[in-house]
Amino acid sequence: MSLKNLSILLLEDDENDYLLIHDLLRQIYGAGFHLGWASTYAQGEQMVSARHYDIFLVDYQLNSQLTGVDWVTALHKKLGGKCPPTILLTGQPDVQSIDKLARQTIGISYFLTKNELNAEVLERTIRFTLKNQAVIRQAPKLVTILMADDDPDDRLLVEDAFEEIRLENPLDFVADGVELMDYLHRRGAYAHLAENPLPGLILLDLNMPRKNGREALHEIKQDELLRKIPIVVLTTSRADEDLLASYELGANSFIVKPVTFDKLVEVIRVVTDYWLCIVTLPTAVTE
Amino acid sequence: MANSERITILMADDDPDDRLLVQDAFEEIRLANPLVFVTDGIELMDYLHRRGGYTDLAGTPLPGLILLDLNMPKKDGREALKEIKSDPVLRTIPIVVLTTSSAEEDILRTYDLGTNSFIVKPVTFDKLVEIIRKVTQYWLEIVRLPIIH
Repeated sequence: MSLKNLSILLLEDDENDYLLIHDLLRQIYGAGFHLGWASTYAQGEQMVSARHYDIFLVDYQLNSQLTGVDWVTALHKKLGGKCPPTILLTGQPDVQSIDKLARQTIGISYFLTKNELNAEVLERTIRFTLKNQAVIRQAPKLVTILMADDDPDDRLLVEDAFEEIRLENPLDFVADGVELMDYLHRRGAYAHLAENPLPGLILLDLNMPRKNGREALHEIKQDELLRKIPIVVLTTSRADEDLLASYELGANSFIVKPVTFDKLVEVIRVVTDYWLCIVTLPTAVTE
Repeated sequence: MANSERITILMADDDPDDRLLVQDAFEEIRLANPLVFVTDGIELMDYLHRRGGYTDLAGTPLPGLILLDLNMPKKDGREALKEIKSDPVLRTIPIVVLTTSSAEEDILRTYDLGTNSFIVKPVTFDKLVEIIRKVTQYWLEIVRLPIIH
């Protein structure tokens, strides 16, 4: 998708915030964007009928009787389906009530809290909004994906597949079940990760030395905290007993590793699209 | 994947509009798999245990995937999820929670109970079609599902 000459309408009554957004957009797109700034609802309505906008950025707390949410709702009534997606900006610390409000308002794709606003977050949120993400939620965070696999060739192939689909999420590797448990418990060689978020998704091979995937799966799904992290078994095994045993132990999915690289890229593409864009992950555990 | 077109998908949802929308979404993406509906947790458990109104299904394969609403009368989705994931046979069937709830406690609690995925129901039909397309692509084409009789 081309993000060149993106046209953005900002409804914001605070000039300092307008200047900040303008500055961030310049950092992201250079000169290749158009930013329309409306400081009142009436002005915004006028600007919308004068030209096309790809995206709305709307401040929630406006210095008037209407909130940003009222404005989005009113414009949706007026423009119907032709209303571009909206990112709601808020300075409010009560993220949960804003989250609820944003979800109940048709047209709002994401909300951003102003204190976490920077070029990287804004760029990613705009990109996700334009990709028409199905689920409304807080600005996307890049969860870490952890792969446990003892075969260095398989690890390399998965790494290449991630590069092929240009996935930005950090990808970590462990080579057996013992390393996997050390990584998840932040102990041994992984003690320095104590403050880092846990992975949001685990890709688990079944046949590994020292501690195999079945044992690790069993241990993880017995652990009150770790059991919430989705585990996708990714194995060369086609045995029905491995399939049933994995689901019985609580694997979230069972996938047979494809033999060709092209097919692997396709599998990784669908798997990451499903878990990162469609599913809501238990990020409260992993952040 | 072989035989994936024969896998039945079971949806538990008490809202007739939501059931109709999902049915329409399945038609939209031309999915040939049988789609069966139950409207609350009691019916869901009866269906899975082939009892009550479902004794005639005894001997036929269980659904390969369950789409589960959380808020339903009589027995809600959380209770049904807990029962299914405590059952040695039924627990192998993947369950995708599909709910309007995005409450953190529902997300954490259902993953804790063993849901295979948690998905927030979208508000527009277009997005629902997109979600159903991706969900069925993932579970029917990429994942290997258990087939239990």
